[in-house]
Amino acid sequence: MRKEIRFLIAIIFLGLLQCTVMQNLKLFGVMPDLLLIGVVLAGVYFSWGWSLLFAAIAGFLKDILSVDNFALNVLIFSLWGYFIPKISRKISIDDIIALPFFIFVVTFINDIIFRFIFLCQGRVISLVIFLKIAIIGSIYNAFMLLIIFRVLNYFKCLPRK
Amino acid sequence: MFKLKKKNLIQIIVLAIAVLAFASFSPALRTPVISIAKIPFNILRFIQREIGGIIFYHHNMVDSQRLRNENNLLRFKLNEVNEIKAENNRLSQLLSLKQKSPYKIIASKVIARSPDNWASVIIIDKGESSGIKKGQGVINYLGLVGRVIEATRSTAKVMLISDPNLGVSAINSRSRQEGLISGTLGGTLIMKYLPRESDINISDTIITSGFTESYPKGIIIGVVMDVGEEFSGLSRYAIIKPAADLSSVEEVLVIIP
Repeated sequence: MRKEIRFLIAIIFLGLLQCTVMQNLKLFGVMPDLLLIGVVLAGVYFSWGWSLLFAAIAGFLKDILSVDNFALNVLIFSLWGYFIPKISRKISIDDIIALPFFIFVVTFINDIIFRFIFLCQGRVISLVIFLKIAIIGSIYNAFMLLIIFRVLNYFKCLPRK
Repeated sequence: MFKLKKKNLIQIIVLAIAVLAFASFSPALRTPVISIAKIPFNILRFIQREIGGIIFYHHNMVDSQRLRNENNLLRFKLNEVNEIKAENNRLSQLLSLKQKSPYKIIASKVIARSPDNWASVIIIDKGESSGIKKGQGVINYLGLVGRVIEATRSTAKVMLISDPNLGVSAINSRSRQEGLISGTLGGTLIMKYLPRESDINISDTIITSGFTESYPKGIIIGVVMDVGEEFSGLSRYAIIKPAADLSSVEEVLVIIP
């Protein structure tokens, strides 16, 4: 099977896991964002077009399962899907040490974008709660990336760089 | 960092249009995709439950024993309550009081939860075909859980009271002090707009006031953990511990008016 199809199945599976199993693996009430991890891995390991497609699908999955506004995740994930391949061409982020740091930064920026959007909508989330979610979520994502990366490699979902 | 060439600009515009088109279709695709996702959700939930049952065997055994004892005690109490209810009915008939129409309740299982940290939402396995509609209140045997915010044919999304977007009108069961409860995304709720001289103490029980149409009066919301003063000094707030364990709720009851 082609790596792209395998990765697409992996994205759908990550979405299902996010809504079920991950709820039991919360750390201080915060869970990792497996779909965002999938988007980052797609951006680093796949070509620009595939990365964008995977990002849009991941965003779509997240949108239909959450309550947020009209396709917000499709739009934001697509932006990540567009920019990450370009960044990864400029900076080498595909090694196992740089990747968790990169996902930490991406998650933190993603959370800041969401907080900004919520503020514009009048949804006030206290700064303490935001920082808790953003910091713990980013660290948790960095840790989970190492596991997901190994699992995806084991099932040969990622192309060799 | 990036040089914006003409070719790149065209690519960006085409992509932006494609993404926006995809985004505009996504709300229409929600219902069929969630209906399809119900099957894998149920399978994953089953696996999760079975694995949990094996891992927590001893804990479950102790719990089961405790619940059996509690059940026996409750059965005894229920008999007493039934007697009082029958007596109440007889007396009400004597006084020609109008009986309140009882609410219909639909039991449902939680099959999934919101995938992000910014909302407290659960997906349940009953939908419009069972009579569930947007706006209906959701409880469990411990207290208030939330409100239905979206319903498809076979599933429904319920916003939990721990979500900051959900407001519930509530009263203190002891002093009858009114306030508005909303979530904090954490493990507690906040009761706002309490006057400075409000009579509210730690350990007071907070119940629904009945002013919010979705919820009948008297459903337990939680217990006051802390009382503080707003930064402005004009009003007070109370921190409430929800009666229902919202982080691990598995079965819920939807109130059909």
